Amino acid sequence: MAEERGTHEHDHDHDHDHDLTFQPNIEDSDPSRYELMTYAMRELLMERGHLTPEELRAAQEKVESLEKSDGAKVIAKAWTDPEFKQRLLDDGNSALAELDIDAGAAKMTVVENTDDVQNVVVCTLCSCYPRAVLGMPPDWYRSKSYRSRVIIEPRKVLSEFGTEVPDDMTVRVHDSLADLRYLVIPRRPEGTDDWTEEQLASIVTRDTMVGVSNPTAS
Amino acid sequence: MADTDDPRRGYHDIGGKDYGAIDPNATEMKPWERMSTAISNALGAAGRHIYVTDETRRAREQMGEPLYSDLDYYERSTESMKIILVEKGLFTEEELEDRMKEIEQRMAEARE
Repeated sequence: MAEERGTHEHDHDHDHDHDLTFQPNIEDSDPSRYELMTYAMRELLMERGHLTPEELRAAQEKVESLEKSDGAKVIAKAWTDPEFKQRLLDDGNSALAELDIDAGAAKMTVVENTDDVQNVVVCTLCSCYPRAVLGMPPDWYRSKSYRSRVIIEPRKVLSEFGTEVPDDMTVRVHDSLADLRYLVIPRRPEGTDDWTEEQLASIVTRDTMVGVSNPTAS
Repeated sequence: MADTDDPRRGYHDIGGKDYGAIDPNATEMKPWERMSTAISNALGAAGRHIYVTDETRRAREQMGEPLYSDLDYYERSTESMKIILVEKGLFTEEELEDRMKEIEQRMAEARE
């Protein structure tokens, strides 16, 4: 990480509004350059009226809530309600709105894993991800290794995630964009016919909705 | 197969290259990473509309290959947000660097 930077002297003659001065939780280690940059932007933006403490707190709560994602509930409902599943496949954004999930401005395309097709999602250009449903993207989704390789050797990449795709099954890789996100409906495992939505949701993980693994009934 | 060494490709355009084995571990967001994401959301299309996603994407694609490769994901998004906010005149690079030094000092004093 880039830590080097020219040191230029400056005097501390500007007054701070102390309500707006941020005191982060004390850490043992020195803050990194980008940690400091974040705190500095926060202060400058608030002093200049571009951001209020209320707006920031609401936005932070939203990020925290996204970390506990709703995706599994969406999939469980799609598995048990065929009409909902069809609406999800037809128009992801409006079907998610039925569940009070705001998928945002980007188009949400929902694709379904079947006995013949395994869908996998990537963003090769950056790390676009359906955050409204799946929360923040995991490290591997953002990694150059995943971004570069999954579109050219998806079966090999999936096998590295422990997912072996039979030769006669099609693998479809979807490359996301700033304006277009993808969500995978995994295959519902056999032996789950009498399961409740809650039980079903418990086996739907983030990775199964990105398509790099598949849920199992055990 | 696409020519992955095509010089017309941007440094961010890495589909089809080979960056090696994937580390499947996922880490928790650090507090500053969450704050940076929240600031970005509050200023962006879902908030004050000071910028839209495509502008920060453009900044990521223009920050230059050395910096892009050097930074991790949240560092990159913080850097690209900074580039756009400086462009739009909300603060200057110098004001930001000065404030960063001040905060660093403040945090060091608080740790003593």
